[in-house]
Amino acid sequence: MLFVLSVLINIFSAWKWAGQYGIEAPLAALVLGLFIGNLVKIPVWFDAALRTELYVKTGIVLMGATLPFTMVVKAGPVAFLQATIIAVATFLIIYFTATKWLGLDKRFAATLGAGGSICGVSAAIAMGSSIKTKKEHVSITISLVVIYAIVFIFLLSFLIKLLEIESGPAGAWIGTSEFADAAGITAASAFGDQALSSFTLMKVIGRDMFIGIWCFVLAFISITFWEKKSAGTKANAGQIVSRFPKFVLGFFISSILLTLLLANVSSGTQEIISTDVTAPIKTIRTWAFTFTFLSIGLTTRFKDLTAVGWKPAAAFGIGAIINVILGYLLSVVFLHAFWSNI
Amino acid sequence: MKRENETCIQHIKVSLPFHPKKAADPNQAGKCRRMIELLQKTNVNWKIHRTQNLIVLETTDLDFNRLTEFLSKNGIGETDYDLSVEYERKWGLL
Repeated sequence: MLFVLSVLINIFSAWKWAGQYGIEAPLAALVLGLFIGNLVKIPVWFDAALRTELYVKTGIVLMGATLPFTMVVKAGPVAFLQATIIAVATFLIIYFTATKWLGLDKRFAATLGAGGSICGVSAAIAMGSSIKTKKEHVSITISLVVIYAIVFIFLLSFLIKLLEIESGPAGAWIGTSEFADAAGITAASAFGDQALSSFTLMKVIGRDMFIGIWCFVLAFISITFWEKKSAGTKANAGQIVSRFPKFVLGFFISSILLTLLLANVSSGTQEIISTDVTAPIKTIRTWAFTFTFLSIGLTTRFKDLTAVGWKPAAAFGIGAIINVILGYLLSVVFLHAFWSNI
Repeated sequence: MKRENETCIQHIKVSLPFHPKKAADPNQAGKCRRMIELLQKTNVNWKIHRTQNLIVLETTDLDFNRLTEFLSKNGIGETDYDLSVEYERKWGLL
C-alpha cells in the first residue's frame, strides 16, 4: 500500500501541472498522508509498514554514500558549532521559560527543552528516560514536537521561498530549526540535493550525535541538584555510548567507503562509479524518503495526540521562535557563503 | 486530542542485588524474597530474569512513580534497589 502511494506521488510530481504550481513531491506526500491518516480509518495491520524512523535513517545512511568524507570533515566542525550554539540557547530558553515563568516541573521542562533543541521525539524519549520524567509529561512533549514539526515543515518551506534563500543555506537553516530528522528531510527535499546535504550535515553531525551527552549531563544534574541524592540510582555515563544514534555510524562508514573507492581509481572509473553506483543509491534514497514523507502524514493522527495545555505549548513555542530566528541569522546571514559552497 | 491519550510506552526495570556467594546469607535472601513478593502484589505482569549479581524484574504495566510510592510505603527505600525507566514511541511517530 505504501509503495502504491509512493508510485502515485512520483507520477504526480512528474506531472507538468504540479511543477507549474510549485507543488513538490515531499509536501504532496505529506499532505496526502495527513489527509488519509486523519480522515480515513487505517487498519491496524498497516501500522507495521509505517516506520518513519527506519525509512529516514536508511535514507540518511544512503545519503552518506553520496557525500565525500572530505566534505563531512570540512563542514562538520562548523555544523557542530552552529548547532550547539542554537541548541544550547533554545534548551535554556525553553527550560527557564517553563520553570521560572510558567512554574512547570523541572524534569518536564528539561524534556520539553530536549525535544525542542536536540532531535525531537527521539530526544524527548531519551531525556524522559534518563531523568525519569513523568509519563504524561513525555506524552505531552511528543505531541508538541509532532505538531510543531509538521507546522514548521510548511512554515520553513514558505519562508525559504518567500525570502528566495539559496538551497545550501536553506538546508542548514532547516537542519538547525526543524525538530525531527524526518520532518527536516521532508522540508529540505523540496530544495534539492544541496539542501539535503547541508541539512544532513547540520542535523546529524551538529545535533543528533550528542543526545547521549545531553542525557548524561541532565541525569547528573537531576540526581545531584534536583533530588539531592547521594545514594541509590546513579547517572550512568554508559548512556553516552548506548544512546549514540547508530545510524550516524552508518552515515560515516558509507561516506568513508565512497571516498576511499573514488580516491583509488582513474577518472574514467570514477564516472562509471557515478552512473552505476551513486545514481542507483540516490534512486533508492529517494524511495526511502518518499516512504518517510508518507509515513509522517499517516502516523500524525491529531485526535490520538495528548492534549497539551497552554503552558507547555507556550514555553516550547517561545523556544521554537527564538530557534528559527537564530537559525536564520547563522545559516543565511553570517555563514551564507560557507553553506552556499557545500 | 485528549488529556488521557498516551503517545509513549514506559518500560520499567527493577534490579535487586543478589550475589550468589551470599545466597546463604538470610539477610540478603530475605530482602530479595520480600521485594519480589511485594512487587508481585502490584498485580502486574513482571518478566523476571537473573544476571550474574542481580535479579531483574521488568514491566510496562505500572507507572514508576506509583511503584516507588508503593515500595516506600512498605518500608523499601530507594537505596535497596536500582530503578531504570525507558520510554518508546507508542506508534511510528516522527
